[in-house]
Amino acid sequence: MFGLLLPTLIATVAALGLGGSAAQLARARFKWWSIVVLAFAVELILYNPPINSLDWAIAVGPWIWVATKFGMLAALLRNARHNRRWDLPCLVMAAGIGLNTLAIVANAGHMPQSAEAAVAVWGSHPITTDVQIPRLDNIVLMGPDTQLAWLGDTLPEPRWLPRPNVLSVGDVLLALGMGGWVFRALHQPAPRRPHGDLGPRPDVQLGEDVLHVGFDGLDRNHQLLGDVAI
Amino acid sequence: MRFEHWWTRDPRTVVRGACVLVAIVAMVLGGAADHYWV
Repeated sequence: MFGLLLPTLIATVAALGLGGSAAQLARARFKWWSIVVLAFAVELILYNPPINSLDWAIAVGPWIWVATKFGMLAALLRNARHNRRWDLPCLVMAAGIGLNTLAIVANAGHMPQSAEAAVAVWGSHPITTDVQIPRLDNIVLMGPDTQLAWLGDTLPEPRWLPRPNVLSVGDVLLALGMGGWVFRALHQPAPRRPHGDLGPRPDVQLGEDVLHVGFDGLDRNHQLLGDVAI
Repeated sequence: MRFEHWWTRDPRTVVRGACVLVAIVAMVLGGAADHYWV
């Protein structure tokens, strides 16, 4: 789990070290973010007790999982086009989830996982240790019938990482794309108006930026603004 | 800028930032194809 979030953490540290601001993150816009959170919540509920041992969940759960992937994909594509320009981080993330979804659909709603990679990470394959209890699982051991095996979980994380796992190509793209998105969100400068533009601004909200603009105007024009309502 | 100061003057910004953080984690862990949240 930590390995997936590592690019985002590195991007955060790098952006802040290069003069970015954590407050910028709150100004970032991601349309349909609630769909992403809802999709993740559905996954959490679906693949954990007690739901993951119910008959209906075992029967249709894999396809509900696929539907959550399409929801996330739709949200990313909604954000991939901004101001008539393509957004590279969103496109990379969309490619990652798209490749994962492709592998899952091609394997009947399960992500194929390399046994060798699993052994390299955990010492044994997790889905072979508890086969007596029927439950919904989202990975399946790779075999001769596996489709698109190269898109499956084949990349073992180093064992020294906290909570190591086996990654797919799509996972790597998703993690890198999110790192790029976070870096840009934290590092891009806040939009500034020219000093001479002191006209009415009906669309702004009271906040730090407005106050900074006011003080800039005071310094430039050498005028006392103490009695002027801001 | 102290956090308390920021929270007092613009709590909506803090809430918005928290929502963005939740969405980031949800996107990465939910978009990946395994039990990464376990």
